Amino acid sequence: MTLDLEKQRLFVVCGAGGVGKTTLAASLGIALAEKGHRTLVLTVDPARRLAQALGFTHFNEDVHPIPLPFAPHACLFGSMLDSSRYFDRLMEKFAKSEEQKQKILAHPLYRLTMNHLGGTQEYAAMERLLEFAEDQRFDKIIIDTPPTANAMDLFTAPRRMAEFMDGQVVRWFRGSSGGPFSIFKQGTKLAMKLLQKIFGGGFFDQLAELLANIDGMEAGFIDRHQKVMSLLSDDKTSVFLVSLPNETRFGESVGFSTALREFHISVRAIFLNQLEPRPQNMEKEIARLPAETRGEWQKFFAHRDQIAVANQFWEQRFKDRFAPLPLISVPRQPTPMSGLDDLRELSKRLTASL
Amino acid sequence: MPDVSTAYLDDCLRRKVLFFTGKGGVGKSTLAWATALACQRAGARVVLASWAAFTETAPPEWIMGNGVAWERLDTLTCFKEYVVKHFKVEPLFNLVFDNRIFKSFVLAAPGLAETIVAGKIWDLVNARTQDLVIVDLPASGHAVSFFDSTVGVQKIFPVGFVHDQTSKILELWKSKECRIDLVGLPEEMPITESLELKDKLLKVLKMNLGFFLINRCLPEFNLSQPGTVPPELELARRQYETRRAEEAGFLELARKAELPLLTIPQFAEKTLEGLILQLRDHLSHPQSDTSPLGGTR
Repeated sequence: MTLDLEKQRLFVVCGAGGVGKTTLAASLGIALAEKGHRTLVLTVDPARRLAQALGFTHFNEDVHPIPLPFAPHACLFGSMLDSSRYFDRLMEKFAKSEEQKQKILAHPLYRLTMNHLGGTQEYAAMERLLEFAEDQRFDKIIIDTPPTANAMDLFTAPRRMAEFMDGQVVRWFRGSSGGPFSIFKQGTKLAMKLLQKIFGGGFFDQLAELLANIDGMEAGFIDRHQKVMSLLSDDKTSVFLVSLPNETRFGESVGFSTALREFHISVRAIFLNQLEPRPQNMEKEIARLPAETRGEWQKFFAHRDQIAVANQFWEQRFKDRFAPLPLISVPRQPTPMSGLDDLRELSKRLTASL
Repeated sequence: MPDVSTAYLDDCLRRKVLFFTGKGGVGKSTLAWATALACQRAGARVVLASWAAFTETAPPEWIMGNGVAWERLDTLTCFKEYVVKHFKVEPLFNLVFDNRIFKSFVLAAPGLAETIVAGKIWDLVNARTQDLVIVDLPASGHAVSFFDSTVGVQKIFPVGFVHDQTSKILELWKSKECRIDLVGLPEEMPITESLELKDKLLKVLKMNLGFFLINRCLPEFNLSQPGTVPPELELARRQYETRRAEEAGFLELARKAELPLLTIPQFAEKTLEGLILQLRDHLSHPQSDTSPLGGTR
């Protein structure tokens, strides 16, 4: 199976923390821009050096051009994800009135609720995906995602929000704070009595109040969830999985692609990052050193070689498990990435293997 | 400097509960498992606990086979246990727990799930069936809200049963019996995230932060050589030294946490089992706070 980048418009780069998603997303952006596409790269929390390379000088969500000295006519744009105060901004967006907004933001349980729902970055990332998917200024959009071992945490973020605000639960709480609840089944009545016994009425009243305030907003989140899902399963969208050649990441990647399939989303390619290359013919070189210093060099290369062998073993497991999906192995860079030129080198390698 | 011994294993054995947290992908679970095995080998009865909502993977079976117990902290199960213990209402339970709205309440009510799980950890610590509880916490942000929730719930209930329960839990978290370790890698993002995490955790609760474990550091090789070296070797040496120098910079940054640093070398193991056993042995050796340029490796 090969991958035709020309036919795709949206590229979603996923994977666990520390696998190199942002670097790959940026390199892919350079590759597409050099091919003449107006390309946007959306990143989450890039490392300082990468941010500098891409010209992110201020932490904000503005879309800015990234000039490529080696390709003066290429149109590459970048933007960072700012997830701070994200829920507040969402509430402001979905609130039907100024009064509703103020009531929610000032509620004592609001902050705790938002913490509990967790994963602010996930919600924010999905929101941006929707926002830019419609943006006709760009031919190609690459979205780097927050680190998630569990795929569905990322894609179902809007749905979780909607579920929390589910009308049935809200109605239950309205009932619990004084209203009649004869419409509920016996089990619900018992459950509620028990909870009131444990938590006392005060907590219930507060929660009921908060939920009543957000009542009616769930429709916005359900709508968003459906849009995210249909975008992700669209023919013009590619979900890329970035992983590392070891046992833990292998297991995680299998889980990730299986979970996606349940939602009719398929991973289009796997990038296996940081493969240690096997040292070649070093014995011959070491033999040229004075005998008393050879030992340390042998240990040094033996360690590298063991890592390389272990990496190759897991690379093969990935190949066996995910065939016929394209698997792009990216060797570990001998020195740390330091600028656009390094990213371009990587981008060339990617386009050559895609 | 916080109140921790510089000998890692000795310090672990003096505690009743250890938490591991840090950025995703740095090896928190693996280090928690290896620490459990090291403590168990040193004679402690150990139980590993991980919160089902956040941890995808259970410890490998063979770890439990080695005598380490494992508790999967599932919110609904913990809640059921808790209520049975404190409210004596068992006959009603199946009816109550099958209720869809009830389930969504327990899982969605702000701070409740975290507090229930925290309560279960408190119970494990106080059960006296083991000496040490090792908790593999979720990554940074979720770890903060784990502690923050109990504080929040305590504030919402100024008096009464829940208040007393949460006070008891918070007392344990703040005590010397509890230690929280940060896990990072000698790279920019894991270190900066851990530094932020440290501040956030301390802002929530005055907790006893222990070690800053820096995982997967390049092992030390002395490749300095009088005279010239063949060009291929010279290139390999330069690349190695560049990476070492870069790591040293990040270890220096990690010192800002003002916690004892424990550097853990990168092991070239093919399997997870091999890696865990290497880590167990490494953590069992007397460790001292290391200098940014190497020291005890």
